[in-house]
Amino acid sequence: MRKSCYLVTGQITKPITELTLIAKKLESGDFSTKAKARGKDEIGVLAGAFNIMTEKLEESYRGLEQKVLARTKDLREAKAKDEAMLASIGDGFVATDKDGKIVLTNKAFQTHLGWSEKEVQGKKLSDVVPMLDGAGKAIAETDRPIMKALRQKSTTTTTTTTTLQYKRKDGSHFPVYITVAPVVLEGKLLGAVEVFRDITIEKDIDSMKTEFISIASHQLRTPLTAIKLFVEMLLKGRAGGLEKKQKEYLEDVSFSTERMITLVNDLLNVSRLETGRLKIEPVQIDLAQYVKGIVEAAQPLCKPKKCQLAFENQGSIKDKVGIDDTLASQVFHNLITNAIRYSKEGGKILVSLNKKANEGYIVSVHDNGIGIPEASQKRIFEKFYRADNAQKAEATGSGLGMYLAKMILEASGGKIWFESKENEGTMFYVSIPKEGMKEKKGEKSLA
Amino acid sequence: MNKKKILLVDDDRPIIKAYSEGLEQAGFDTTIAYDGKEAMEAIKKEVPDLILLDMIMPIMGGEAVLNELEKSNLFSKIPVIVVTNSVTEVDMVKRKNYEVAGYFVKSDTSLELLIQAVQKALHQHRVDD
Repeated sequence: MRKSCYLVTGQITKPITELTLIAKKLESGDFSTKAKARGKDEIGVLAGAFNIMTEKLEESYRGLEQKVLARTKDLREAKAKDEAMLASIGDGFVATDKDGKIVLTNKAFQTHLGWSEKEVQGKKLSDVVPMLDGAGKAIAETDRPIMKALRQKSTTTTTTTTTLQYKRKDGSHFPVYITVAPVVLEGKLLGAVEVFRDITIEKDIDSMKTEFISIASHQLRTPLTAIKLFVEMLLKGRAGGLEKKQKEYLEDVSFSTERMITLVNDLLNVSRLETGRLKIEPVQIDLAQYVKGIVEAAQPLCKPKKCQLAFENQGSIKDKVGIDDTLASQVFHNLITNAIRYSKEGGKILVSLNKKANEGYIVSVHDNGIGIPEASQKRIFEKFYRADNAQKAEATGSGLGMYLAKMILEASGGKIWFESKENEGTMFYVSIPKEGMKEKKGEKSLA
Repeated sequence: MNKKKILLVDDDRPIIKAYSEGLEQAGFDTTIAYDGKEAMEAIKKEVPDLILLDMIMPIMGGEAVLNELEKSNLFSKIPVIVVTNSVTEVDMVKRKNYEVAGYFVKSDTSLELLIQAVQKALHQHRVDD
């Protein structure tokens, strides 16, 4: 009786102890042990259920593990990709913390400056990479773009017009263009990222262009000046009286010389306007008197074609307006000479001045000349473009006048537009803002 | 009345010939210097009443001449008119605020206009005295 009692107890406790052990193993992630299959009694059923549960658990565990592994791999790949992208940027890249200490650099940073990532980690960018001005003088830390970006929490970009230089590890330096942006997360400043570029080539090209302008202006104008002066002396009879034909030929030489001089000046002006460093210096002048003066100065040009050129102050304007004489006279002179150039024999040209509430002052130049064909109208402000009928009518004209006028007006806040019909005439309009031409600081005036 | 003496400084022979003959015919005495160094020597020998100064020249350019004149305080004694074909030089003269009596782009300036400018500068100078 005692023995059978023990047997019964043993039959019950043994499988339960076994299941407990398996459960413990499961707890530590060991899914290898299975409960022994037993009879069909309750314990046997329990063991079976336990085994199924173990399998399911194993399955889900393995799945989870796989997922974690896959996600980890994805993340690692994404990070590597980000890092590879950063490293591959052709421009130098450096990230700093909020004190301007280097956190991360890319390959271009290292090759441009000669420092390895290890050497610069945790050091202040300003200490590692000194910044110099155009003359080679060190720029104070507080004035550097990165410190400005950190201080003002706004993106700072250097300009290519003022020269800034970065000093390499070996002491040599190069002109640099920098963009720095603060890194702000949820309103908190974390640091800044800077991208910089070596602009040695750009600087070289820029100075070559400047050099070319300078040389072209000097070299081309010098022989033209001599021709101009001697023709002037001959025409004034300084070398004796002239026969009719001699005078006529000399006038032709003079005309062509002036044309050549204008062409050189136009080319120089286009070049100056395109570099964007042109200055606009408006001075308060009586606009009506000013335009009238330009019209009067152009009267002699009307003679060959017996054109009539008149000025009308339609709005009876007496206002003083801010005008940059050099620039504005270029615009009006171009418009008036074009009107004469493309007029027929005995044509009429009217220059009017008016004022409109929205557009400001409007100067219009109206002619009844050959007009601009519809197909050419879109291209009239393009550089070097001349309409077909214009080329046939007049050999002179560089195709630069309208382009220059548009550039000058746009830079000074004005506008230019026109209405035209072939064989009927053209009406050009120029608007100048009510407050006058917009001032622009620059380093260059027109040629 | 003594003729006013104009010192012409320019390396371009045709231009300087035109200036010289034009000014002589207008009643001036002219001396010619083909570069800045010759100009400084001419000034040492005899101080002219006015200088017509080109900018880009070999050996010694116009800017160096302007600096020399400034250093030796001659600007107040001699009116200087800058005549150049280089726009960059005109910009430089304006930027550095040299006390010149005028500056002209040669190719845009007729002999007549230049003679008028010379007469005006001499007149102005006399009034200032």
